[in-house]
Amino acid sequence: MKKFEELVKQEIDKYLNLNVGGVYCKVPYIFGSSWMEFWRTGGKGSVEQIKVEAEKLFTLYDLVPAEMTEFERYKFLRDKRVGIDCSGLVYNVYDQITKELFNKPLSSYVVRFAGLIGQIDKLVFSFKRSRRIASYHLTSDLNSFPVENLKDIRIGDMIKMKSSDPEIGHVAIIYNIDISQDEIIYAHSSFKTKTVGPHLGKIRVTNYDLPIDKQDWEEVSAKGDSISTNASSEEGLGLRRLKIFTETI
Amino acid sequence: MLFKFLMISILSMAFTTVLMVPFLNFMYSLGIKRAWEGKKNIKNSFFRKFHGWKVGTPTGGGALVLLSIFIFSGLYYILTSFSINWTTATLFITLLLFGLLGMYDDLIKTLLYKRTKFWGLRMKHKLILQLVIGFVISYLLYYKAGITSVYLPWYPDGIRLMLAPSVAIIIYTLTIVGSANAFNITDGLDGLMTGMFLISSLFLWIIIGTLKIPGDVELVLAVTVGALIPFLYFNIYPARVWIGDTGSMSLGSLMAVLFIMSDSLFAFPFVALVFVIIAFSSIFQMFTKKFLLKKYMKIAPIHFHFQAMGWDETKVVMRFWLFSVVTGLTGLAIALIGRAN
Repeated sequence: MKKFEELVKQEIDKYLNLNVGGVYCKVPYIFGSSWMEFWRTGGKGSVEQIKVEAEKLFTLYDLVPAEMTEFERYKFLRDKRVGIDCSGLVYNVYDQITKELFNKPLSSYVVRFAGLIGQIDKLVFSFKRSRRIASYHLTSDLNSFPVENLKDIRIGDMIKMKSSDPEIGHVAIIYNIDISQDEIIYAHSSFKTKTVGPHLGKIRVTNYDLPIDKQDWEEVSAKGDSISTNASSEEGLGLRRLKIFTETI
Repeated sequence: MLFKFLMISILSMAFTTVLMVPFLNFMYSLGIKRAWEGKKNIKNSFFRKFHGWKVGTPTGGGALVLLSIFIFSGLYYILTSFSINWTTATLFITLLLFGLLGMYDDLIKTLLYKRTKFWGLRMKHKLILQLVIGFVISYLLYYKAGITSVYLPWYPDGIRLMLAPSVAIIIYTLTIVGSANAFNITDGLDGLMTGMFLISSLFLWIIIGTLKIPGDVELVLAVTVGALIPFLYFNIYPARVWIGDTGSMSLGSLMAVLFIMSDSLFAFPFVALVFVIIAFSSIFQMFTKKFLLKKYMKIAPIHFHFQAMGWDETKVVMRFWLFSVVTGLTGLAIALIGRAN
């Protein structure tokens, strides 16, 4: 269990502290593009892939990251579509963990469809699998189950949320739980919050008997509304755990 | 016949020579120069360093070349018993349509830049228009000029391949559009495209003479060569005028059509091999930048790469001219395989 939690934090930290050319580069939010653009990370890349792509682009355009301001580096990467979206972040964090713990990629475990069709789909469409997995796949009943009681929350759990596009949805991942402070820290990559791209958010737990959306969320949307309404338990949203990450990890 | 066309060429040369200086004055007075307001507006460091000092040079000088071609060819037809036929008409239509397209592109880069705020026609739009024009010309070549087959050089007698209409039109269209763009891309250093065009033209003239191709083709070629020589005088380093898209696109397409009409389509990529290499260097760089996120040349097309490596501009141009002579000789030999002793 401890190794799993360490891995979750370690992998998320890599996205939060991307180093390109010896300097910190904030990773932009990039909406995932089609797998047909397979030569690019397309908003779904691992940290290593994003770093390599960023380095190549800086070199291609004869730019030295160390000679640019942080905002210039961020804008350049965003304009060149180097970044990560919500499901890309969670997928790649889990992917590194399953490779570390089970020696298999996450694509071996996550399905898009039920039954035999799902298995065939997994086999046939294995190329650039991360580009085909969206947040609603990760948080669906095929791949995850709801965490009913807030007291059972673990680092590495997902928060299933809704987005402006109901067919796509949004997902965050629990980064840290501080029982003494009654704080839950989550990580997600979003573009409709005040902070864009991968970042951490804080939830203050006021009542452990209530679902997570009823707690005190610190983060607000770009319009100033609390984003807790996007994780409404009444709508079947909220805490979920990937089936493969059982108690034994 | 050859003597007649040589005289026409010289007259065309004289006509263009007389008009060059007033034409240049006219262009400078109208300010038909690319919309760079000083070096600081040139974002690319390579162009700023090597070509920034050329800011203010007028572009679109191809308009005078085209004018000479039309006037002299037209005069010849009027004053002699030469009748205008579909071969001539196709050549004129090629020059006119591609010339107008190029002229529009030049105008957007110069006088209309402030209105459009865009550097010339967008590639997608330009390509679509070129394909449409190329299709029209190909149709005329096949159905009106009667060029329905291609000669493949093979020893001892060659192979004549009859083409189905759709196949022919596709091949001709791609050749014409490819050539127009290749010549356009080549027009980047002073005198490069014009000099290489003249060299290729001279080899084509030899092919036409050897194969005894009907006079219309030779006439237009002669007039074009004659008009380009005085232009080249002002186009070589340091250029006082650039040919612009008006000239490069029209001449590139003309060259393709002339080779098709000379029954030497197969030899064309060999005679114009340098143009082909330059065009492919651009495509290659675009490909690797997009898919591999890497540049294999400092800058494309390849003539700029050599310049960026430290070659003087004149050295690049001279060597490319020399290379054109070599490929011209090769193409000439290929064109005549199985056809001339």
